[in-house]
This record gives sequence, C-alpha cells and structure tokens, in this order.
Amino acid sequence: MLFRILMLMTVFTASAPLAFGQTLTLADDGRSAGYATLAWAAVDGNSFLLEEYEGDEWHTIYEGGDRATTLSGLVDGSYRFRLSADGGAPGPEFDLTVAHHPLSRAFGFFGAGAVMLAVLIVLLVVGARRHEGDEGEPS
Amino acid sequence: MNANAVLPAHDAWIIIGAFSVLWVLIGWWLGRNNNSLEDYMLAGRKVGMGFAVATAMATWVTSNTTMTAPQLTYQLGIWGMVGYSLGAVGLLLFAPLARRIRTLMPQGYTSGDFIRLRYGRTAWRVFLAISFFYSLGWLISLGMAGGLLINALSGIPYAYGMTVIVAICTLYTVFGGLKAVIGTDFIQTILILVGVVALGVLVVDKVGFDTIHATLSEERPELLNMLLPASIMFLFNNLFFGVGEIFHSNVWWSRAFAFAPGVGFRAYLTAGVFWLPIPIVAGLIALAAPALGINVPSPDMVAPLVAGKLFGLFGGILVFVVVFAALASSLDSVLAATSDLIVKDIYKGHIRPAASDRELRTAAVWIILGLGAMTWALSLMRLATLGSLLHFTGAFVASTIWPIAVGLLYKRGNGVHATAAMVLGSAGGLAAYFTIGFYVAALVSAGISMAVMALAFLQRPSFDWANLTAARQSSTGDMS
Repeated sequence: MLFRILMLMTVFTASAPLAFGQTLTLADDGRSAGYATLAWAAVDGNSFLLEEYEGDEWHTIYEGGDRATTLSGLVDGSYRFRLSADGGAPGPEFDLTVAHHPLSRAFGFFGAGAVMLAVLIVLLVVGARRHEGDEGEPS
Repeated sequence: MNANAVLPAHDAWIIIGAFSVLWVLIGWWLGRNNNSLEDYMLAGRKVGMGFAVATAMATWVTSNTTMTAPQLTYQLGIWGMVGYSLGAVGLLLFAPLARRIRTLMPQGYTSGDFIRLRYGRTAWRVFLAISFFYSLGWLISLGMAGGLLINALSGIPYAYGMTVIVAICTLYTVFGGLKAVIGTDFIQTILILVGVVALGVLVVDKVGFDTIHATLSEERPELLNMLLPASIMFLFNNLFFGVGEIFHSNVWWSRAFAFAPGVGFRAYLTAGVFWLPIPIVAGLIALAAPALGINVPSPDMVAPLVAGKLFGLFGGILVFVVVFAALASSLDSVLAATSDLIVKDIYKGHIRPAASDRELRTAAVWIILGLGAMTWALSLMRLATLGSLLHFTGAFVASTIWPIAVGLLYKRGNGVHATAAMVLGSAGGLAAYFTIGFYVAALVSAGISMAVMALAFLQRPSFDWANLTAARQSSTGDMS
C-alpha cells in the first residue's frame, strides 16, 4: 500500500516540464494563476540572456548564470520569449499564454469556503458548549 | 541554482555544526530521565503553559512558513500572503478540541486510538493511510527545504545540506523523545520570532513600501490585484488545509495528550494568535524581490535570495538561523509523532498486540531512525517544488476535518460515514488538484467530506462515550 502511495505521489507530483522549442521548458505551470517558471537546464553554456518581446522589440528580463526564472503577477495575454547562451544566436521563440480563471469560478469557491467555515465554527462552538463541565467524565 | 549564494560554505558549515551540537546536547540532556514509554512519547503528560505555547507555535512555524509563504506571495500576491496566514485558524479551532481530547482520553496516545475506538477498524486504517502519507509529505518537504536553503545561501550541494539536517533532527529525537522535541522547540521559537521580525523590519527599512509597491504595479500588477482569481480560490483552501493538518495529525494530538490538564485550550489559542502575523512578515520579504532585480530560479528560494542580496553575509546568516530553527522544530515533531502513530497503531495495533512497554520503547527508537532514513531517501529525489508537494497532501487531510470534529463532540456518525467522508473527500480533492489547481484541492476535499458527514445528522445519536472508558481507565495506556 505504502509503495503504491509513494509511486502515485512520484507520478503525480513530479510534473514533466512542458517543452516550448528546443531550449526553454515550463518547469512550474501556473498559467491560470499568472505565474510560470521558465527553465533551460539542458542548454549548454555558462551565461544566458532571456528576452521578452514587447512593444515591437526584445527586452532583457534576465542575464546571468542561473538556469531558470520565475515570472509572476502576469495579466491575461500572450508573451513571447527567447534565450541565448554565451553571446550566441538566440534559440527558438516560444509563446506563453496566460488565462486566469474566471472570477465567477473564483467567487464560487470563495463562497463555498466561507459557508463551510461558518458551519465548522457553529459545529465546534455548539459541540464544545454541550461538554462544558464534563471535567473528564464522558457524558 | 546558487549564483546568488552569499554565505561562504565554510561559514555555513560552522553554523550547521554549532547548532547540530547544541540540539543534540539538549536532546540528550532532556531525555536522560526518560524512564517509561509515557515519558518518551508524551513527556510525562505534564507539559506546562509556556512550553506548550512554544511547541505549538514552533511546530506550526515550519520551513513551509518561512519558505513557502514567501513562495506563495511571489506567485499569488497579497492574497497568497494573507491566505497563508489563515493557517492560524487551524490552531485556534483546535483549542476546544484539545480540551475535549484531554478530557475524553486522558490515557490516550495517538489520534489513531480515537478513530479506532470511535469509528472502528476500517475507518482507522483509512485514517492511518492518510495520516502516514501526510506525515511523509511533510517530512519530505522539510528535508527538501533544508537542502534548498543551504544550497541557496551557501552553494553547498543540496544533497549534503539535506542529509545533515535530517540526520541531526533524527538523532536528537531518538535521544530525547518528546521532551527533547518540546525543549528545543522553546529555544527555536525565540530564534524564529526574533529573526523573522528583524528581517521584516530590515526589508521595509532598506527597500521601503513605496518602492516595493511602485515596482510591483509596473512589472507584476496582478500580485497587487485583490481580485486575482487563483488567489481568491486559494484563500479558504489554505485555511481548510491547515485545519485538516492540525485536526487529524498526531503531531497535535500527541501534544494535547502531553499538555497538563487545563493547558491545551489556552496554549493552542495563544499559539494561533502569535502565529498569525508570521507568514505576513515572511511574505513581505518576497514582494521586495522585483524591486531588487533578483532573479528567482525556483520560487521556494525567494526568501533566502532576497535576504542574501539585501543584507549580504549578515542577512544570509539570519535567514539561515531562522529557517534552520523552523526546520528542526517541525522535523523533530513530525518524526516523534509519526513514530508514535506507527508504534501504537501499526506495530502494536497490527503486528505485536502483546508488546510490552519496554519493547515498544525500543521499537520507537528504530522507527524514528527508519523514518529519518526514508525522509532522507525521498528528499534526495526532489519530487516537486515545496508548494506543490505540500498542497498535494491537502487533498487528503482536509477530508478528515469533519469526521474528527463530529466524532469528538457529537454522538452522531459511525464508521461508514467517517470512511466514506475520508475516501470520497480525498478522491474529490485529488480530482480538483489535477483539473483546476493545487489551490482548490483541500477546499473540494473538505466540501465533499462535509456533505457526507452531514448525513450522520439525519440519524439518531448512537455512539456511547462509555466505549472510550476502557482507554481512560487503563494504567498502561493500552487502548483496548
């Protein structure tokens, strides 16, 4: 049983990176929450330049020796990136599309959570009051 | 992954060495008078208010608080930070249950004891599977956090740092049992509180709210969006995840059993109030990252990276000490509580029903060592990021909230209700995890579990509290 659980855990939590082009991978996919970790673990080189296409030109968003970067706080839309290593030619471009959950869905979960919390508090308060004064003797 | 390391490896090894010696010595010293199984597993059942608050707080301030709270803030913004702090609700709501547990089962040892006597063996086994899976997930996340922290700050390879932290915590838990765990928790609480507050103040002083706000508005506007959908969904999810963790886990039950009579309610309430602001302060550190132009290769490393960049060697040491204390205070607690669960519910409950206290004490030592080894091996594999690993277990633990609460306070509900609530809740939570996101798994699980347990209120009260009497009257703690 334990082995099965551990195998399931391994399979389900070790999410396979999504590949975009030959160089960049999406190591942590939070596109519906406005964040993403882009990684380039398999790219040869010591210094990397990651650029984003915005306003008709490429802008540097990271330059250095790390092999990943986490973007967050992204609004809905399409984003285009490219990576170059050790001053070489940029690798293939890829698009990242961010689409947040609809607010109606978000408030549905929020409302359900609020109701459940209220029910839990009432359950605990009423239940605890019933047993006040038990002084160690189950009633 | 460690281009921003600010702590020389030599200095890091000195700090690790000093604290390791300190924790092991304290563990040995506190545990030298452990004469019985009850001393070893439950600190003699007479823990006073000061130590009780400190251990509840230190255990709940984990590496997840000091590293995952900043991660979630970095990913989900303001609501991610607030949502994480709602984990305090679990401690607050457990306060009345801790009093009830101590009253109902003054001779109890584990949460498994209660489930078996209240709901029967099928529910007990489902509960044990959930609880063990969760404990393992927590242990792995702690081991991983240790390795990541040391690597981020000093460049020491992940495997080395993780190995040292897991080994040291295992060692002093073996020496001292719950007394060592609670004693070290007290010192670790002070280190954590002072360190976290100092870091928060220094970040605001060095960077400033205006700069942080301006940069976020310009570069990452959604982090400030109070209507960010995923964050709104996450808010109550994290609350119910925390409630599920605390309600079911033997970490908290063993403390309820170990606290002196009358202490549990006040201790959990006080710990919850003091814990509430800690994730907010820790999260604030992450929001300074964009303003400082820091690259964050892995979001669970954001706090150490910010502290290192901002305060150099001093910041690195401060974060190192805080997270090392937070890690140790939780790792030892989970090791001890999970060992209790395995000793009493699996070894004695399923394998050796006639085992003596002496035999159980020996088994407890070997089980702690085995758990430490298992944690090490699984942490070495780095299965996922801390956040995703942690929230994966949320789908399971949130399903236990209602069976525990109803079972402790009401005579309604039986083993069928409890088993169905846990199984269906976990399945629904897992489905939500994979189809929507980690930020709804616990919420969906708790919702389904609640619907199932609500059926219990359609039936007449049937449970007789006297069924727990045998356990209450046993001098050996055997739960027959």
